[in-house]
Amino acid sequence: MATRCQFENSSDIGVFSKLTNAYCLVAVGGSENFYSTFEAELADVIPVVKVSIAGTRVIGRMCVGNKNGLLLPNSVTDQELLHIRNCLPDGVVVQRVDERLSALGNCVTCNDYVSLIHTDLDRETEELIADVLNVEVFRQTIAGNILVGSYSVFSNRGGLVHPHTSIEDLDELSSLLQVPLVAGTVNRGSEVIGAGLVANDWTAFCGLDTTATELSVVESVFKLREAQPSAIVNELRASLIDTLA
Amino acid sequence: MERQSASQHKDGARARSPPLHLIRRQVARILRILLKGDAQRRAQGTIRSLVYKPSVVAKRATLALTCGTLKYLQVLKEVLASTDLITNKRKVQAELVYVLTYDVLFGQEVLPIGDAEKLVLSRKHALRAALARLLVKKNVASADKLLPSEVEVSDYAAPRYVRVNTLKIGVNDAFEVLSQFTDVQYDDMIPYLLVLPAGTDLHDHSLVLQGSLFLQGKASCMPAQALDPIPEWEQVLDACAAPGNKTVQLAAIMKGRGRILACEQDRSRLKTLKKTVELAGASNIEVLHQDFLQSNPFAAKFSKVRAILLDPSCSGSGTTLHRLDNLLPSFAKGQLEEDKEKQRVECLARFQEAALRHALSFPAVERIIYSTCSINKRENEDVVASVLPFAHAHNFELATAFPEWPHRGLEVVDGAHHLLRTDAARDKTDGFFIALFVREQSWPSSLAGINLANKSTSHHAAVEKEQDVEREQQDEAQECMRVLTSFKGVQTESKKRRQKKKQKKKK
Repeated sequence: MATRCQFENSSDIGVFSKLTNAYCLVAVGGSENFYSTFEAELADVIPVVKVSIAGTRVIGRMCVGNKNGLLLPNSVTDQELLHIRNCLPDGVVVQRVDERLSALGNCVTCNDYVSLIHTDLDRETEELIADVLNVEVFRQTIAGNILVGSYSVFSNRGGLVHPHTSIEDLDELSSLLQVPLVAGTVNRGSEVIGAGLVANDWTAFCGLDTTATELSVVESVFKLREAQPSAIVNELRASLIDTLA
Repeated sequence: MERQSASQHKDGARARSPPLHLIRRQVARILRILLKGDAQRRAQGTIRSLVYKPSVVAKRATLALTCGTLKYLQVLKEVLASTDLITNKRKVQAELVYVLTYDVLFGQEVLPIGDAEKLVLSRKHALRAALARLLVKKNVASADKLLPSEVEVSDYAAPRYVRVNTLKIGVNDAFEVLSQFTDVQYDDMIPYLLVLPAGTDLHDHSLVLQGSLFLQGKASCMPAQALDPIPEWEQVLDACAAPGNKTVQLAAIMKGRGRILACEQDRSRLKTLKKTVELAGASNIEVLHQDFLQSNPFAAKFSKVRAILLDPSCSGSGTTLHRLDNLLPSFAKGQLEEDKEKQRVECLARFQEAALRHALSFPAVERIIYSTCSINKRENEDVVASVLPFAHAHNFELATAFPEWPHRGLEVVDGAHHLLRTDAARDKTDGFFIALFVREQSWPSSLAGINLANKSTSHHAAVEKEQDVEREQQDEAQECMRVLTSFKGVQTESKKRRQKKKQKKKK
């Protein structure tokens, strides 16, 4: 199920949190309410960790990650890096990236298998993304916007992209990503999807302004109504057996 | 109802192979690791080990595309040199461009999905023209003729050998099962080895998964068979045991009786060894976490060791074809040219000499097999030649393993006709080397200690001197192993870092 929440009177919760299938990061400080919303939904399944990046709270825009790894910008302090490393599960590789475009969350978006990146990102960064996150990388724009991380959110089951994305672009993107996509909005018409929504394979969180219609679109495209963490695990197991077979 | 149809759809989607643009990126990533490792002579994995990683999907297609691109790599580089596709200005990975160019020129059709695909497709005509110009320049009719001659060897098709684990299943039963879906033949030398057509895919066959069959090449079955331990013998030692295929083969030859001691020094390889032993269901194997060189041959637990199988670390130069290393750029340049490689082989050879000397000094041992999967003279005949005087001093003689085998050792050592060599191209199996040492006058194991005691009093000084020499050589060998591990630099460093992290966590 998708949950509505708010960070200190702001509906842009994607700016202050990062959600993947293996862990969830939330901004430190502010009211405890934001943290406990995530914890209530996720604490039994994955770790929910309070972090700051380079002393800021806009962690969702600064980092990018999936179940395999987490990439942090060059500006992250050693102490923060160590804290994150200690709190995340053992299988997750945490790595710092030397990239001029330091708002990785805006420039990169990914699920556990595929990643879209900003067209001007360095080639070394691209290789690092492929190696650490274990994904296939595509340089792409979304409806003419180069900030792919801001204007799209996708999981292994579905995704939501900028409302102005043309049908042809949608087709191409969904064949790249191998998941169904829908063009839509969150937070009562906001086109900055990445800021208003975080999602993984079994749950999603939206800004408090999100309308019921928007919420139902999110739930249907991310296939949240049928999803349970255990179901995901079973499916993972099935696909694992598939690949081993 | 709705849910059902959805799941059906999903299954359908999974049955389809992943699209080519994903496979190409996967291949590009593998190529990057391979080429980087190859250029620095510090390989992070072989082609097969990288392709068969669990995270890689559509392994067969990935392997085909990887091999194809590597095969034509030199041609692709020449073609691409005339275009502007690989420049630092364009932020496209060079490896991905190689893969795409290979597909455009020789492979499957490229659809305009993905950024790199579109870029290469926009230069499609320029690339084809460049290839045509190259063909004219070299004055050949087709692109195959552009390939260096060594690469063509890669198409060799070795039959698939399967060793029947006689601890679990009879040879004839296994023959029946396998002959249901492919034509099977018995091997003419090793009774429990079956020969299947090349390319038979057995890795997920139920008999393989339950340990009744082992996918083991003919050459690697030969050392244990040549050792030919008798089930009545109380102890047999496998000196460098992991991954354990030969160890469990010994167990099968001894029909599960007697006792096999399997030494392994490395902790992670020890795990593999234990897994193999468990899979084979061999109850008479005792796994020892021990450095063979450090073991005391006169210790009580080794007093009844009648036979030793010594298959020490080697350069693996006999298995290059199996590992597809002949596709890598460095192979064309000639592997042994480089000093580094020579140094590595020299270090390995010194370690092998020390290990063989150590094996020869076990008091009760009667038969020793020394085998490597290398084709270098330095690691094979030279090692035997340097150890031969020591062996004679301990009453050992070279004996002929598999007299019916036509290919014997190189004529650089006395008794080269006793030694056995296999060759990848000639014998359609990996390149192996086998030497069999037999103690002339064997005595009952219970008397071994007494005899030795007599001997050591009479030749007290001589034996002591010999032991000193041996100790020195062991030190030297260990130094060499240290140098070898420093070649692995990066890997060890990261391991250390991980260990440190763990320690910190514990604190």
